[in-house]
Parts: sequence; C-alpha cells; structure tokens
Amino acid sequence: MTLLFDATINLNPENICFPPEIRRIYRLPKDASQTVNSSILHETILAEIDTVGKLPENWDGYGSAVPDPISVKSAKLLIGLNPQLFQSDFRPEISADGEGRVIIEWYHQSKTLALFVGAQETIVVQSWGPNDKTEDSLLSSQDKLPKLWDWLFRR
Amino acid sequence: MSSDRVEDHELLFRTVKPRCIKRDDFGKLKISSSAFNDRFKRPSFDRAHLIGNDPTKTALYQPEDGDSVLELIASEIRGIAALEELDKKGQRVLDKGVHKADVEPVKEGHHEAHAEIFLTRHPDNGIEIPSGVFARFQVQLAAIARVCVSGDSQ
Repeated sequence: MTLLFDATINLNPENICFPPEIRRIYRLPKDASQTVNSSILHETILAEIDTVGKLPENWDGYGSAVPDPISVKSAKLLIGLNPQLFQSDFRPEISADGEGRVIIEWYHQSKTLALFVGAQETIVVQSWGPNDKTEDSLLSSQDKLPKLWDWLFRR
Repeated sequence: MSSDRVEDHELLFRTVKPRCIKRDDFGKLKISSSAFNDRFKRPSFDRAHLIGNDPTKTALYQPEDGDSVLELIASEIRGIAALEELDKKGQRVLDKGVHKADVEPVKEGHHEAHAEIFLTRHPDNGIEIPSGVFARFQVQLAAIARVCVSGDSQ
C-alpha cells in the first residue's frame, strides 16, 4: 500500500488555501501554499482529519462541540508543512476535543505527544512516565514541531 | 443508595465512542485523550458498585454498537500529580496555579451512580481551568485508563 499521493490529482484546493488567521498564527508567508510539499502528504491522515471535521454536535455523547473548520484547516497545514513527520510507521491518532479542537496524538514507549489544534492557538502536551509528568505549551511556530518529534523519540 | 463521597477503592466506568479507542498496528488498544472530553471540564463516570459492577449498564448516554467502556479506580485519579499552570516560558505560575484531580458524586435525577472527575481550583483563581491544564489532564487520564469492554469485540 502506498501512502503517498500526487497533490495535483487528489488535494482539494481548499486544503491548501490558508486563511489570514492561520498564516498569522504560524508566521506563514503570503504564498504559504507554495511551501507545502503536497506530494508526500499522508493521504490517510488527511482523510481522517476530514472525517473528524464532519463530526456532529455532541458526537461523543458528552456534549462536545462541532470541530472548528479553522482548526481542521490548521491541522492539515501542520501536516503539510511537516510531511516528514507524517510518513513514518508512527501514525498519529486523530480525534477532537470538547471545544472543537482537532487532536493529533503520537505514542512512543512511555511518551505521549498531543497537539490540540485550535482556531486561535495550538496547545502542545508532552507526557512522559513512569509517573506521567506533563507539560503544556503553545505551538508558537510550525518550526517547533520537528523538535517535539525529536523529543518523542529521544531515549 | 450512593454515599456523599466516592471512596478511593471505588471502580468507575465511562462509555466512549469508537473514535476514542483505536488498535495500533500491533493490535494493542490505544485510548485517545478525546475519551475524556467535557465542555465543562468535568468528565462523567458511573460508580460501578451502584450499577451492579456491570460495565454494560452505564447510563451516561444511550450507548450504541461499537462503543467501549473504560474503567478507572478513584485512587488512580486522585493519585495524578498536581497539575501546575505554566506561563508562556514554561515556568510555573506561582501560588494560584496548582490543580489536583478529584472525583465526587453528582446525582442527576434517578441516575444515582453518576460521578464527575474534576480539577480543584484555587479559591482566588477559581473561575476557569486553563485549556492547557485540562488538555494535560485528558492525556494523563488516557494513559491510566483501561478498556474493560471493547466495542470491536462485541
């Protein structure tokens, strides 16, 4: 099974047209779409995010909000700008939180890296055991993600 | 009858949707942080001994085929280390920003088994648990919870 696809065929233009607020959050140039290496986007993960984006109000039975469309676009942007993180065997779990953020979670050994991608900001949660210490921060720039990825796999 | 306190040894159940539970490539069940979503930052559980210790009798919402049930012991929730608020530089917010996990019964009509887990708030800073702190709480709950009824095995 191939996980790669040709963006010119499969990628809806909506996926690479980033609104101004997303460009501001991630400090993107105006032609940010040009920086996306779409040819190696992970098709399965993008489809999963699209599925999450279509979840209805109260999808979990506990009153969770509809995933915010800007959060969905932001999550796709993160994948598009960091394709090297989304083509390994460590596929993240995709879901949504109660306030409409998209959750992207990786697990490796006793570590968890979770991104709560919101319309205004992305919360980063790093958790590591054995006593499950945690930290949270804001993803100030998409450049930070590869460093977080290094943390996840560092011994 | 439910008591006014959820004892440390009590087993708690929570029904969750298939999206909150996945099998990884090795067949191991993974619990997503989304299993503990709650708009009011107070995830609901059922107290096991009040529903005959039968996880299929949880009444948190009308379950559907494929739903799973998670379990936790109250002492595991209370044992989560205090969550400190961090500023933008990752430094602890002094004095006011420490939150401890706890669980309490919250009866809803005839739903006597209902309980909620929550983070304590400082009396001077008691309005809102920061989203980052609650996100950490969700990640930690997902790390310690166990699947007692798997939706994909029903």
